[in-house]
Amino acid sequence: MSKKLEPQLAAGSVYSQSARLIFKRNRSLLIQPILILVILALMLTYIHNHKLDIIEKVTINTKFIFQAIQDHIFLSFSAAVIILAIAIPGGILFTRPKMKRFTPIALALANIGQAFPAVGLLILAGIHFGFGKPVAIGTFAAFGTLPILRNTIVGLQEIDPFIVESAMGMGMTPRQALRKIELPLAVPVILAGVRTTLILTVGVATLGVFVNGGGLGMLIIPGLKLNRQIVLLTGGMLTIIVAFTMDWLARLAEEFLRPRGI
Amino acid sequence: MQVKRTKVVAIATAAALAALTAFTAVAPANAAASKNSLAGVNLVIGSKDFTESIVLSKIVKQYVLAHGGKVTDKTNIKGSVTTRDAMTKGQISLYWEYTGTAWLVYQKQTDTTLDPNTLYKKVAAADKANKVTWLPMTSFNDTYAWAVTKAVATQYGVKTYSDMVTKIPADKRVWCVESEFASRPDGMAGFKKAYNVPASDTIKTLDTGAIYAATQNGQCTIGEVFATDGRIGALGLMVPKEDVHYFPAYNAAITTTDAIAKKYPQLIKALAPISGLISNQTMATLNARIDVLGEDGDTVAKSWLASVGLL
Repeated sequence: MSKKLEPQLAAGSVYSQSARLIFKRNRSLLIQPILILVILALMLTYIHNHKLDIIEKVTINTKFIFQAIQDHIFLSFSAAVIILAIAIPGGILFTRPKMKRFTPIALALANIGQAFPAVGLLILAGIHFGFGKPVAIGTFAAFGTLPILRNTIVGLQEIDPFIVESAMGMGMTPRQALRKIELPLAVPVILAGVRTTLILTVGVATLGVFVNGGGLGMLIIPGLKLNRQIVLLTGGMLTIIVAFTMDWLARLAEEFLRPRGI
Repeated sequence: MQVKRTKVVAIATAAALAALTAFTAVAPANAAASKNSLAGVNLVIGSKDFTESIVLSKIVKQYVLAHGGKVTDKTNIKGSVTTRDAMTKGQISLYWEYTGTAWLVYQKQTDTTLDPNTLYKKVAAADKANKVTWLPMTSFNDTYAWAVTKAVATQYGVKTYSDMVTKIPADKRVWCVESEFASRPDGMAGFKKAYNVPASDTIKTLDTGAIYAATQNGQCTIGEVFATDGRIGALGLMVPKEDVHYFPAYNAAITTTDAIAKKYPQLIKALAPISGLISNQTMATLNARIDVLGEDGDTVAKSWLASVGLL
């Protein structure tokens, strides 16, 4: 019975897909969480088999590490949300016929954001606006806006203009054409940008330590400076785990949101 | 009257300087006699990636060059561990290391209560096993220090580290430290115990370089700095007195491999007296000339060597 229902459900809406079908078609979606768990297990074994000295004990303890992870997720996720809130509407705006001529300017601005040395930008912003999480998030957002803005613009630009034209020909208003034709078609490219952004912000968030933002940099930087491999590696591996997990969630979203049949 | 006094002071200073120059002028006579005393010495000189480490190595570089030796400049290597590895692997011949760093980082010791001389002896002895030779250490101690603005110091009457805790009101006490300092037992945690800093005080973790500016512009009341940094004076900051001994010693010394020390005994003998000439004040001035006035490291090194009569 369920066998009969599944295809119907899938056909019911272009956005909805059954989870089973998705995992069946895309095995790597299952491999990724397994890989995450393997890294986690390796890391825990490594820590467990290592005799910590008093310098390592300051950072390698559950309270410190959970605080760092929590701050890290908060920093990178908030930055990612701001980026999406700016870049997706921005990308749509800059592909509308009236705004098209401003596209190069927008891309140039986003390029500047990304070309800026992240640590320099962070510290300058901190000295100017006050050190803390808000400045860290704002800077990370400036740093990560480019890839997704570009992806949104490219995703929308690459749609065959005849498709949009025929949609208009069928009597759709420009707004309807955007919502029903252009956006669904651009979803894969936009979502690829979302994933890139998430990974990027998780990586950049390790710099939060420089501006009183906390995060996993609290392990990486002291680990490096004090030559305590275990502290450095724990910070590094946890960053990978956070990035992988976020990426996996985004891939799930991508699978579920990708339109079928267009 | 005021003008006159300034003039008198200026003249007196000039006279003193002239006398000093005349006095030190005797020294170069010695050095000149051994103009080519380091002929045949061929070195690759490294340093870590911050001003003080670089300018100290430039001093050695200019000294060796002036005495007929050959030098390849590999200063500004990223990170202490990388620099040390480069030396033990023979990619560089020598660089300046700090006793506290070698003790805590390379030798993985944790006792930080030792006085500078004992620490130096222990570090140098322990490094024999790694085939590393330590030349005499500097008289300056580039240890951790706390800085406040002169305005804060006058407003609350802060003269010592204890005053920072007792005289600055609790809601104004914002401590800014670097992440490394925040996470080592002999850093913030130990300091809080030694000076009874209340747990409720605000502590911010910032980049080392940012702390100076953030302390100057008031985002931090008390900033963790390095004792010989040129920016302390340039930004109108002051370091109160350490009334309870707490911070580990960080005296610098030239470190080299046993192989180099054996190959060039004349070099080791010639370089040994240099470190004794560099006090905290001298080091801060040299750092400030580069960080604040923007002078070039080689120029600063050369002019300092000339001023102490070693060129």
